[in-house]
Amino acid sequence: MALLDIRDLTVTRPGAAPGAPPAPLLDGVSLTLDRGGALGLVGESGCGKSLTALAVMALLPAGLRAGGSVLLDGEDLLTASERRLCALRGRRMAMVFQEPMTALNPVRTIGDQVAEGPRHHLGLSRRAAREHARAVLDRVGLDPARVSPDSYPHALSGGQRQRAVIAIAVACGPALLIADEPTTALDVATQARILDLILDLVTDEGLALLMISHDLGVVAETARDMAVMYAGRIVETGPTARVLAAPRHPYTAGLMAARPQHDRGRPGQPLAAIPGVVPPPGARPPGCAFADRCARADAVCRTRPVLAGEPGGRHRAACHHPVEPPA
Amino acid sequence: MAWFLVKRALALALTLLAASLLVFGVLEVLPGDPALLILGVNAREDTLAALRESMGLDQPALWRYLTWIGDLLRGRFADSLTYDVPVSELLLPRLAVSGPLALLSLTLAVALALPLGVLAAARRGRITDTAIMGASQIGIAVPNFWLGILLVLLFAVSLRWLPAGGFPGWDAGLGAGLAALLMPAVALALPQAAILTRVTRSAVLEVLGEDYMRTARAKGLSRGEALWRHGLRNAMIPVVTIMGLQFSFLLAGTIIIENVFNLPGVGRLVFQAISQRDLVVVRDVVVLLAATVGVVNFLVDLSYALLDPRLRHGAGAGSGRHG
Repeated sequence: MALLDIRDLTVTRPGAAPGAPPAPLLDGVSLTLDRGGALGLVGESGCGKSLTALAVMALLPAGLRAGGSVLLDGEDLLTASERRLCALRGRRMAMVFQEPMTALNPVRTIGDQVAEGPRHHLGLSRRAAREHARAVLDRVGLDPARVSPDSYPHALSGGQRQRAVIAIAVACGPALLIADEPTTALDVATQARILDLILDLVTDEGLALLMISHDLGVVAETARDMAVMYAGRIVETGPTARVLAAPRHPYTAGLMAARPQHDRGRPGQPLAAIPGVVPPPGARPPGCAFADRCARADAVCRTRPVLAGEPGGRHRAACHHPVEPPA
Repeated sequence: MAWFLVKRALALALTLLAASLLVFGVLEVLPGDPALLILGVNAREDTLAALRESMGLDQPALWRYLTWIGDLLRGRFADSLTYDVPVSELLLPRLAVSGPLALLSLTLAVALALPLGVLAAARRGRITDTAIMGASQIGIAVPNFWLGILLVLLFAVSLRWLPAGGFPGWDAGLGAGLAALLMPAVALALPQAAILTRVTRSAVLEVLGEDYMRTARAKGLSRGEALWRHGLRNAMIPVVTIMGLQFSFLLAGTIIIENVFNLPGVGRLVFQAISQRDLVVVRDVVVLLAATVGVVNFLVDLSYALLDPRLRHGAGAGSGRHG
C-alpha cells in the first residue's frame, strides 16, 4: 500500500453568486507516493500545486471544499475528524513552506518553535523538548554553538530560517514531508545547500518526499517520479528521468524549452516561452485546458476531455496528440 | 534597544516642553486679570498694582514661564487663586480619586475587550461575531455621561445597590471607596471597551492570515492553540497602541464623568478651576494631565519592545516581514 494515495482529488471554490456553479480549482488530481519515495510536482504558478499540498495537510483556506480522497496509510484525511488531523499533522505528515521570512513566528525563539511539535506529539517535558529541539536544529545544520536556539527569526539569514522551518517539519519524525517550493525564496548558493539538506533527511530518515516546484531542475535532482500539473489537472506523470528525457505532453515540452540554460542558445537570444497564460478557474475549456496555448491542438482537443489515466510507475500524458519520442 | 529608549525619552521631553509652552501661551493671551479676579472690579488701581507685583505678574512673560517650570520641576507649586493653598494640596487628595478611577475603568475595558475581540475574530461571520460587533457598535454610539445617568437610574435609584454619586473617601474603607467608583468606571469603560473590542478583532483577524499561523497548524496545533500561542502576542501590538491613545480620552472622560457622579477628582478640580478662572490651577493640572498622557505613551513604546523582539534587538528594517 502506498503511503500517500491521492485519488480524484477536487477542490472547489463556491460560486461567486448564489446558485452559480462552483469553480473547480483542482480537477481529478490523482497521485501516489510510496514509503521512502520521492515525487516531484511541477507546473506554472496558479496551476494548483500548493493547493494540492494544502489539501493533503487538510489546511485548505476557509471556504474551499475538497472532494475525492486523500489516503495516508489507508486513512482518508478528507473525512478524518479535526482532532485526528491535529494528531497527524506534524507527526505523520509535515510541510516546509515557500517563504521562510514569514513562516516563522517573529516573536518566539526558533528553539521554542521547534520544541512545540515534540511537546505536543511526543509528550516530552519542557526540558526534554528543549533538548530535542537542540538536536533537531543541529541535524538541519543550525549548530547550537553557532546559532543559538534562543535566537529570534529576524536574527537569522533566509537560509538559516528555512533550516529552522525544516527543523519544525521533521522534529517529530514524520513519514511524509511536503516541500512547497522550499528554495524559491533563496539565493542560488543557498538553494543548493537546502536541497542537499532535504535529500539527506529523506535518505537518512526514510522520509517520503512530495517536492513541489516550478523548477524542473529541482525536481530532477530530488524526485524519482514526477507529475506535471496544468490548470488544476495532472497532465503528465512518470519516472522523472523518462519524462525529462522525452516529454510527451506539449505543456511539459514547453516547460522544458522555457528553461534558461547556459549550454543552449546564444546570449541575447530571447528564451522560448509558452504563449498565453493559464486559464483561470471557471474559464477552463471543456476539452484540454492547454489547447488554447498548444501548437498541436485541433478541434478534438478543444471539445473532448483527456485523462491521464492511473498514476504511478508508467509514463503517461493526458494528450490527444502526444509528442513523439525522438527516434 | 538603548537608542530606542533614548529616542522615546527625548520625544517625551519635547512633548512636555511643547505642552507647557502651549498651556502657558494660551492662558497668557486669554483675557482676564488674576489680580482683578481676586480683588473684584471695585478694587483700587494701586491695590491691584501691588497685588500684581507680589504675584510676579509685572515680570516679563518668558521669566514667568521659566519660574513656573523651574518651580514645577523642583516640586514647588504656586498658590491657587481661589483657595489660597498650593495647587499640590488641592491636587493630591483628588488624584487619590481620579487615579483609581482611571485604572479601574482601563482594567474593566481591557478585561472586556480582549476576550470579546478574540472570540469575535475566532467566530468570524457567525452569530457570536455578529452579536459582539452589534453590541460594540451600540457601545461606541452611546455617550459615557448618558450611560452614567442610566446606570444611576438603574443601580442607585431603582435597585439601590450602589451610591448615586459622591465619594466617601478611602478612610471609609476600600469597599465603600470602590463601590463609589464602580459605576463611573463602568460608564467610562464601556465605550472604550467597545472600540478596543473592534481593534482586537481586526488585529486577531489579520494575524490569523499570517504564514506562521499556518506553520503552527501544520505542526498539529488546533486552531485555538495556534491562536493562543502564536497569534495573541503578535495581535497585541496594535491593541496596545490603541490602549495608549485611549488613555488620553479616558482622562478627558473623567472630567465629564466626575461631574455626573459628583466625584471630588482631578477632572472636577479642573472643571471648577476653569469656571472660577483659577488660572494657576488650570495650567498646573493641564500640564500634569499632558505629562500623564506622555508617560503612558512612553510606556506603550516600551511595551512594543517587550512584545516584539525585532525592536528589542534593534533589527534594521527589511529583516522583518515582507512578501
